[in-house]
Amino acid sequence: MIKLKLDREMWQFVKNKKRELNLDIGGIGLTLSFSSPSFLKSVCSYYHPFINDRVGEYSILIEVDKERYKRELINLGLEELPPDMPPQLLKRDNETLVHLQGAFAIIGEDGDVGYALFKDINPTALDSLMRILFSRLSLRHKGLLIHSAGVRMGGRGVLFIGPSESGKSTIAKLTPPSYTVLTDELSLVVKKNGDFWVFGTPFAGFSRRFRANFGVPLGALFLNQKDELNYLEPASLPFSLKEVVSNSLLFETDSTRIEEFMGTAEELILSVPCYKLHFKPTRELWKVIADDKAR
Amino acid sequence: MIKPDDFVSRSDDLAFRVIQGEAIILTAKDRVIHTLNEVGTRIWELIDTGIKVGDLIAKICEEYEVDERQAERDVLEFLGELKEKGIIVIQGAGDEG
Repeated sequence: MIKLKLDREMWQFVKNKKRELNLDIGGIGLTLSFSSPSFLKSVCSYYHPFINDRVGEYSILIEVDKERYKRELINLGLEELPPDMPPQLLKRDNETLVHLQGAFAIIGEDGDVGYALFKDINPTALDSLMRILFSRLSLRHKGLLIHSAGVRMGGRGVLFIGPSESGKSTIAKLTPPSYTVLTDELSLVVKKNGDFWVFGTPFAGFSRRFRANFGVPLGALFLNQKDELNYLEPASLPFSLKEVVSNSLLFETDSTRIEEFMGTAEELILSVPCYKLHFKPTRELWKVIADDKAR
Repeated sequence: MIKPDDFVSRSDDLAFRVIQGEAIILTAKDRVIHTLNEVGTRIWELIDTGIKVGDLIAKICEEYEVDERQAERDVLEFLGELKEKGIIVIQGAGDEG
């Protein structure tokens, strides 16, 4: 089997042409180098609030080449993923192969560079790859990407955790104007100087309305429970851990990394109060959150 | 099929925490989370670094004061489920190594 190799000449060419995008989420930096200027242009507005000029700690070359993609797919012994199939992670020696819809990427375990080959310009597949890369980088910073709406209330942040259809976007839309929604889809929670902070991410929900590029110290976790009444109930530690783990992005297969992931999730639930938030989708739900004296 | 003479141990490819008497296990290969109830968590604790299945059944009989046959049936069935999920490893009495 032929191993996919990083085309360093192509990378240098791209660097010289300044076809690079430096993204920063919560102090975690990633640099994307595009072989296709059109691809770069198509995603600039998407990632706009998170673009800066600092070269990331991890760099990845994004190449678009339909013929090569087909060839390498065969060389790697892969077939095109059927529609709606989630990304697949395949461990090969000291590398991980990420297989996406219309693209695949080789990401090193310990190195700082990766390579992705796209069949065509595909911002959706790129976004899936970005989520995977940031979830892996976050873990190395004692952080997690959690399916949650993140909201700043004064000087603290709160998370509303839950899978699709659990009410994250609804809660975000109903947020009083005095608070700021960081994201209604995926929050980055990362430990800084001993405390967990919550940051907005570019990985927005359908509305693409909430994408704030800043963070605040985390004050509480709310675990979404749709109900007929609005009230808070302290969540048990096992329940909280299970919810955080099952709603966090995890694209690792190595048992050491899995242990780090579990350790970070445990530290998180032990560091802030965790509640089951029973709610119905009305503005009243914010009253029980604002009234709570725990934060 | 798991037998009382077999040896059971935890898989290396997972992370787990026991919090407030409840085991939460995350398996590495499929990144799936599994939770165990009180008795399941006790069995998980007893497995620790490894135990003979027959000894595990005897301990559960003693601690929960249940009929030995019933305990054997339940423990073997439970271990079968854990094995299928890749949470434990079973080594046959006749296996080498």
